[in-house]
Amino acid sequence: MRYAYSCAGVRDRLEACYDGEVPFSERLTVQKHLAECGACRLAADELTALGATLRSMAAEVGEHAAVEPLRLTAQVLEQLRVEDQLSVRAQVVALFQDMHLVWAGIGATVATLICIIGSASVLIAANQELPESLAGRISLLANPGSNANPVRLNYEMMAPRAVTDPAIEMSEGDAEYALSAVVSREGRVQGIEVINDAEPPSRRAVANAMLTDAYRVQFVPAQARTGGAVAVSMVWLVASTTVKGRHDDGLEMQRQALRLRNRPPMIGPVPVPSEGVPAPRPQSPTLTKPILPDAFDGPVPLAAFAAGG
Amino acid sequence: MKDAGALGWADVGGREAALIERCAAGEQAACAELVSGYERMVYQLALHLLGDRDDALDLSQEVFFSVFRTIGRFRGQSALKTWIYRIAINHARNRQRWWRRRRKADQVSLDQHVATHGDLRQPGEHTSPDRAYARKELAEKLWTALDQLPFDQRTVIVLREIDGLHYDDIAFSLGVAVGTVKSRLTRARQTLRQQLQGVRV
Repeated sequence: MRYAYSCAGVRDRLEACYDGEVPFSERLTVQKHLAECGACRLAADELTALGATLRSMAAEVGEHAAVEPLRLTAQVLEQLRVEDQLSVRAQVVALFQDMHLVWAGIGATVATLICIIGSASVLIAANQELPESLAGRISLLANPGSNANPVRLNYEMMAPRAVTDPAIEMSEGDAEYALSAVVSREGRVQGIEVINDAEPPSRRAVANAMLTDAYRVQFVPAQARTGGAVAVSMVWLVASTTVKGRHDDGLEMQRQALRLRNRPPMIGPVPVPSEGVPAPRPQSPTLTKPILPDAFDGPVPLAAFAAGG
Repeated sequence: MKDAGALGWADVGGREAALIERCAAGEQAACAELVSGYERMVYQLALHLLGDRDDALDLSQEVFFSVFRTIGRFRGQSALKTWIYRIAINHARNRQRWWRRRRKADQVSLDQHVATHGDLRQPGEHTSPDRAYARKELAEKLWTALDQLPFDQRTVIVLREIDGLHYDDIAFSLGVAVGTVKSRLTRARQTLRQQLQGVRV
């Protein structure tokens, strides 16, 4: 059972009720209130009267309009037909009925395309930067630390460190080379040149083998203070030195003696001593000086590099 | 209550769906059928909203033209009638703006139009001259009041009182919420009642 509404409640629902937008039970409750409350009934009557007046006048206008033939159908269809005729598709179809225009259009299109491609290629060619050009030089100088423009190492940088073994095998004896090289941003060695190139042609093959080895060495690239990897130029000293070691005779003799003393005595028949002849004293083994080479001869490869331009 | 927002093709009705499909395919007979079915509705709505018969005719043509151009995109989101209402109202709103800008100086309201052309049916023979005069006065006042309402309020009251649309359909036609429809309706009725005070209804 729905509670009865107050006047304010009814007024709130009056319009929705009049418009038929409330449930049936609510409508009944409102109608019950209207039967009892004169003021609310007056408001409802006003609402009804307003709607009725509007509808009756609209009906009169509409009735007048209804007797007039609208002829909208024909007009709209005609408009649609005209639009179809003027549509792009229709115009294209009409255009293709006369092939002269089509050929002219295709020719013009091809000519335009050729012009565009020609202009574009000229523009692209003009914009290309040759490495030898002034613009190329300027852009090279503007980027210090690039592979093409390595910088000198200074104390603020972290020098490149070798990742692989930097030792270079050399098949010859004493030799010293100063190599100028660049450690790129990627840690690769590039542009190696022998600085002290006053060697006879016979040793050129040795030097070339050394350069090939040097190219294989991998580095952690040098780092600038800002943390970015930079390419640096460096001088790489390769020295092949023969190290001659001296043998210490005294020490070796002591070692020999020690070895003999610790050896167990030989087991064998004991000779019977002849009369009058004193038994020979057991002889201690003679200490012989080992014959050893005086020196170890052979190249000991050593490689060192010093950084700096 | 009617729920226009949740209508699908199944609710629109097979015949209406078939008509829409034929129109979308560009079939002239279907287009003619659609126009003849809805032209009176569109024209009367335009007349009530714009208050001018020539404008209403122009607008009706525009509306149908727009309907045929966009019917391919209609997916049964409402009844076809409500969808046409929506298009008509959008066109009327645009035309209203244009109309108010262009003809603000010599604006002709419907009451003047009615007075000049005698649109309203004369009262029947059984009514007295006094009553006839009162009716005429009331009609003039009412049309003046309607004409002076803001476009959105006028549209709401015309759609509700004259065309008998439900709140949901009005909301869809105007592209607003149902609450907005209710508040606009209340304001429009209040204004009309105030304008008509003193005139016997």
